Amino acid sequence: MRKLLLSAVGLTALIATGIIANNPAMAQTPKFTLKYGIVSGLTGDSSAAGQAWNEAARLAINHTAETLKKMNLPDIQVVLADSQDSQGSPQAGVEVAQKLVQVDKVNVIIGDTFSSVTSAMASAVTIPNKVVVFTGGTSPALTKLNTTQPSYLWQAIAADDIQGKILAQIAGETFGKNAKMTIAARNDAYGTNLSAVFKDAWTAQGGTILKTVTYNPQQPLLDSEAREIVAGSPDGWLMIDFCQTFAKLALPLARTGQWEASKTFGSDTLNDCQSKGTRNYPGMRAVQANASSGASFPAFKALYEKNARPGVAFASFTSEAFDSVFVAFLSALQAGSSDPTKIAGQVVNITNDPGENYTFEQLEDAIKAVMAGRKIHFNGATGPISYTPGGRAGASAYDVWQVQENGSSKVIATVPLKQ
Amino acid sequence: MWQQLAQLIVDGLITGTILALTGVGATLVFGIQRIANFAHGEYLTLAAFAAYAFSVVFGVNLAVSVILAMLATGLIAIGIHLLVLRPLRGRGLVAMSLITVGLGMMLRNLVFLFAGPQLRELPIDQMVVYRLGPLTISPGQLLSVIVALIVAPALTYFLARTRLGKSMRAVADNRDLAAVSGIDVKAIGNWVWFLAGILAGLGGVMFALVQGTFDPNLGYQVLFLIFTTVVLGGIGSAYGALIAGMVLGLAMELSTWSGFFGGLDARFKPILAFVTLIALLLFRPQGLFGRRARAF
Repeated sequence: MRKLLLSAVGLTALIATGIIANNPAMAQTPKFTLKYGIVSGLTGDSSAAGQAWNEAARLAINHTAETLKKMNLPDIQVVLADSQDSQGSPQAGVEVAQKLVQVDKVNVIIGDTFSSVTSAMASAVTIPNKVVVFTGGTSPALTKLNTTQPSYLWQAIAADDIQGKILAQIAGETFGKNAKMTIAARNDAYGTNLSAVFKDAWTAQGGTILKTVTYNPQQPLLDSEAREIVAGSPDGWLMIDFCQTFAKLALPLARTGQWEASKTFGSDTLNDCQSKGTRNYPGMRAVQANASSGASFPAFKALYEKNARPGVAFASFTSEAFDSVFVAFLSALQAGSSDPTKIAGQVVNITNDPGENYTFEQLEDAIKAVMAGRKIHFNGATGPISYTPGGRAGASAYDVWQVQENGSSKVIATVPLKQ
Repeated sequence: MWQQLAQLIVDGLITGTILALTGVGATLVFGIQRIANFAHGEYLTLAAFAAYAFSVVFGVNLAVSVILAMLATGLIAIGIHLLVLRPLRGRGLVAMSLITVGLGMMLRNLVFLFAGPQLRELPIDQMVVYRLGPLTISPGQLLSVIVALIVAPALTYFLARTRLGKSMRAVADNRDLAAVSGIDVKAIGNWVWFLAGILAGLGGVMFALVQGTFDPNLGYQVLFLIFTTVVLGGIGSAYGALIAGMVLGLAMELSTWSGFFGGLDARFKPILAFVTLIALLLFRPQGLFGRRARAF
């Protein structure tokens, strides 16, 4: 009789455990509110890209909040505390980061896309205050700011040291390894750093840099800069700029009558300027870290086109912002806390194998899996992400884009990469 | 080398003309209203967007659109003066300057809000290049040169020969003396805002044509060059602004000439403008055409 009673109690406990495991609302649901802040250049030189970045992050936060609501998990909240405009200026970036950290008490910041802004706000505000940042900045120096573990600064895109080498490799295949190239770069951290990396890689493989023209894109007229760029008839050009400001240089370049777009490579930001509201130049090529290889990229694009604010054009790189929101959330869920240090400690875990593979399209299942204690690998719209402990997105590939005769731009090759 | 020099002179004259025209409005406003209007750059932006709206959205002829945009900017300038700046008058130079800084930010963000951050182009083929001997020039640049050749002398004539122009210069020169001479200082104040708005509007459209593309940051990018023009020419001096704009435009462009010690790196062009200003102010604190007693 006693054995029977014990068996009955045991069976009941087993059934109850099973029910709990399959129903997160009934499990020991963690209780936290995850506050996001978004920083991007909503005004200024790169405002088209900044606004798209902001929209992508906002959509991801909304999607997460709706999923939690649908799952009836009121103890877990995700909130967009504020979107702030860095204007592409490090000084403004520090000010807005101070506001997000000190006033809004955010746990996670998504942005900026400017390396210079990210560097300033990480050094002065977010790392000292132990707030997690996911940046779209590509400077190799950014992740070096992570001097302790866990890393608080996560670089959602492959860094420029890789991009510079890939550019040199592809330009070498196109123009010949001994060709003379001229570099035209915007006068900021992005332009000067990437041009330096390219120059080293290009000369190391036997090529010559005819001239490096560094220009201020805020200049009213860039005609004299354009003439410097075409001087000496180089075999090819490398342009490092953003679409919005490159448009100001491209017209004077075309006016010289000596510039050939088909002999020009652009940095990752110039892969498809038409989609960012400016003009594409047929034949021009650019490389960009593959941000669309994820299986969920088409779904992200569809979600963006349906729900983003009208007038803010889609850009594929914004999938980095979109993914980062989910990585932060699932890391917080894994940690059972919105404490940034605990979130930072789970980022590598959430984005690497082994684990059950999920995308944002299966967010509900991913949440259930994490709450059931199963190991997951979140795959972004950008791809597998695979963060390293140092803060860099681990696995990636580079797409080679080329502008077609009709002005559209498409990927003509993908160069796989393992850092 | 000489071909480069000729091209740089043309480029310098284009930049200089725009700075000169916009600088005249800003300096007269300062001379007459005692306001350093840091929202002046935004008038350029508003004009470029107004011209875009008239010509591209409503399909009005470009020349008519430019005139309508100038008038619209003039009306906006006078509207802001009557509704915001005049009621706040007497708060002191620093307070009024800060108010115009805020006003400028507000206007810029309003343009962002309604027009978005996308680049715009006025309906003129920017890819066409005219070759005039050793020079190359785009239709937008050519149009700007033509406009400059008409407007700059017309403006000089207006200021020198017309009753309204002379009254403006008189008020800018000595407000009290002008008032006791029977000039309606208040009315002149309204007219000078209108003129400043119109000239800023013309400058904005010219910038948009010369650059080929523009966004809501158009005017903000050149604001400090406009104020450099104002100070260099002598604060309050319309003729000074006209000359200083030309000097600045030419100095910035010619500094990159390879015959000039190999030419300055193009990225240092804006720095040269401020170096020129500092150097001049060291020897002539009142600017090129300002009067010593009026130096600030």
